[in-house]
Amino acid sequence: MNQFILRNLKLAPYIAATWVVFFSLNYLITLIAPYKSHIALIFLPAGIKIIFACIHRQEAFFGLLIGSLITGYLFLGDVAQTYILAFAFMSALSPILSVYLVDKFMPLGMRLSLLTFNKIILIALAYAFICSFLHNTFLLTLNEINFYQYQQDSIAMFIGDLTGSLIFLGLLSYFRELVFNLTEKYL
Amino acid sequence: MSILKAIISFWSIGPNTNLFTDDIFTCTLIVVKKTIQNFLNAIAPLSSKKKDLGEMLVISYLESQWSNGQTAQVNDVLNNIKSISSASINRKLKNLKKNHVLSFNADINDERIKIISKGKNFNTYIKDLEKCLADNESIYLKKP
Repeated sequence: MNQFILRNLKLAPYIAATWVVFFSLNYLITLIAPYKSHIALIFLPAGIKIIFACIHRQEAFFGLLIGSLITGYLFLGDVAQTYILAFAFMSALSPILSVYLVDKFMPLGMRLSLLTFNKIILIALAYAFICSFLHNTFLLTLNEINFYQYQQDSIAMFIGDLTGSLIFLGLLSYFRELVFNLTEKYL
Repeated sequence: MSILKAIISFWSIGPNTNLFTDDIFTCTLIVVKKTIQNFLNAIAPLSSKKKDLGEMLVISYLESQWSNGQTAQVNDVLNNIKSISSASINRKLKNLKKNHVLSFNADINDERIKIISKGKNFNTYIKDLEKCLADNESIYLKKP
């Protein structure tokens, strides 16, 4: 258990920093096409979450939690300020849950050796569903939104997370030769 | 380099340990690198364009003809590429024509003879092909 927490804390700074940078960049996109303070119709950082969850699994949790807390305090509107901790917790948990869910039924293998394109799509779908379900169900149970809003927000969040993660992974895929060479050079 | 090793070893193994050895450092890096490589390979289809081996064969034959200063006719391609059937070659030529990679012009003396020349997308096609090869080489082939 101590080892788990230690590894989590070691990874936290770089995961949190990466998350904050990408969330800030995505904030500029949400300014162009705004929907709600905590929902973006194209949420590119979702791809970053999926990458960290795939590579580090549960060890990425603290990093994503800290990153989400920082961005929550920096960017979310006044309405959501009360629920930042809950949002951050759900935001950090969803990608890890989705990776475990896919791994349970379609094993990803040691060091992602069995990871395929279809499984990546499934992880993105599962992540978008879990994230939108958790966030909006939380708000519905607290009577912050009505059922009609719940449906609309859930769909918007699902689309935002799914498109964002696929666009981000697509871009990463386009520049994968560069990323591959960088890892070869510096790791 | 030794400072970088110490920092990465600290973050990957932990403080208050005397395990900053080359073996553990190398093992940790191999695991992380392998995981990242597998992830990158899995997302590759998101951006890669499909390249048909038959089309590549046709293009390579045409390039060899053009580099020798000869003109290439449809019949030459059909007669000289033995590994693919004529129907398949015709289909591939038609596809390349549709995508403006190749263009077909009738011969001045005999309009039945079609002379093949480079289309407006020929250079883009070759560049895509080169990128595809470079990607595959860097990702799928082991480096010495």
